[in-house]
Amino acid sequence: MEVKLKDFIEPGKIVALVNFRGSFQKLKNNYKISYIVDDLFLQNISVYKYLEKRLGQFSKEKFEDACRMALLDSSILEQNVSKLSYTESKKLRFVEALLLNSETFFFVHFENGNLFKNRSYYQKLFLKLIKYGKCIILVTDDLSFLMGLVSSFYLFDDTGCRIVSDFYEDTIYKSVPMPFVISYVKYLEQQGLKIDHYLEPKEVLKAIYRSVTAGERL
Amino acid sequence: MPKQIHLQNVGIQAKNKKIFDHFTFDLIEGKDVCLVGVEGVGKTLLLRAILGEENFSGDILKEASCRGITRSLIKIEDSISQYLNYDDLSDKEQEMVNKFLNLKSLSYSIIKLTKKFQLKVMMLKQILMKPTFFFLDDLLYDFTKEEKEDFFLLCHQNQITLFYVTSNLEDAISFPYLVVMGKNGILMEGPTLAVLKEEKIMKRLGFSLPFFIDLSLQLQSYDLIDDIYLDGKELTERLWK
Repeated sequence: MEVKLKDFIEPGKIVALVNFRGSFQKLKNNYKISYIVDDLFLQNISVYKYLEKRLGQFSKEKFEDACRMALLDSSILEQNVSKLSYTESKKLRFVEALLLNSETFFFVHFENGNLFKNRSYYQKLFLKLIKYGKCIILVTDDLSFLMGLVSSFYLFDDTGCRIVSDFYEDTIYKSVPMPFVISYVKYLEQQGLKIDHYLEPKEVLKAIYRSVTAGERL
Repeated sequence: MPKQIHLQNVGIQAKNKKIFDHFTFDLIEGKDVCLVGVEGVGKTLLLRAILGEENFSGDILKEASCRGITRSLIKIEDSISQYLNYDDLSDKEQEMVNKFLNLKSLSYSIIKLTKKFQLKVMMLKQILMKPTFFFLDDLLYDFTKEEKEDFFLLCHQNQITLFYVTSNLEDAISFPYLVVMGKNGILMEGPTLAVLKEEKIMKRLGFSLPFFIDLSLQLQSYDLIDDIYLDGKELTERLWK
């Protein structure tokens, strides 16, 4: 399936595309879109030289600031781009996008390979970026990353593309993995317990505590 | 006597900057290991050093054959069938390939496959060489839980000991032994559950504990349970029955 990327661009919003397996018609640069994908770099030059070639107008201090913002240690500027891991390569593309002051950031499975604390950081950063009118487009299959970021998302499946605003909707999970918090709440419902459709594990914990201490039984 | 790979004070530097050092560990045939570590600590470089793809200091002594994958992209125009020398495989091996890939045809060109299927083909290529040890970098994030389990089973069925690098601790539960890597060697190691119970350390490093382990630890702190449960069914029975 090929879709028109511009149909999803909404300034000041985070747009999530779940279970997308097709391709995008890449838009021309006048739309100021940066694509942050997990392809490896093949050039045999340092990160600093790479950025200088691409974005020569910035100082080394600016490069270092952008690296830190993307959660890359500034010492990465000395490393060879071809030796970067997938996660580091993605972050470097993010660095470029930040320096270019792109209007739209298009992330493909960006959360993969990142530790939990970094995922939390990126979620907060994305929420900050949209306050500046940026559009963040996330292609992901990881709904746990989206919970707390968006209240709805586009789901691509056999029926085409549709908007989903209930993370507990069963049909979503024919094509993508179900987050543990949702699968456990559904399991508890099947056992006859009434637990609200929480998205935060700590809310599920509190609900379990209330239920058990109230003496509820299966 | 099980074969081993001995890693003694292995370290890697890049342009006079230490990535990591003092990594000492023995991989033992038949004992799968999962390796985790914060980003940038050198997990991929460690694998590359073991596979002979990276310069390192210290010693790596191999008593058995090793194969591994540290990158998932390959630019090969061959068909899957050609790449795997499918026609020369035994019936059992062909069955294994067909089952694992579950594709209608093996005539697809590898370069046209999705990254996930390229990785699956690469895995098969390595497994068909019958190594004693197989090293896999954090490349399974596209895989469903069932696909990951299929791969782990494939290794077991072929008597291959797996050393798997991941940033997802949910994967670590499938392994009996867990190693947490730091810049100065190993931070923690041991039976997986024992390591994962070190909640404060793991969270300080930036990890999210596997869901049921985290939930069990929280419920323990409220004195609602006294053990760690790895699945919802047992946990539920303990809480409400």
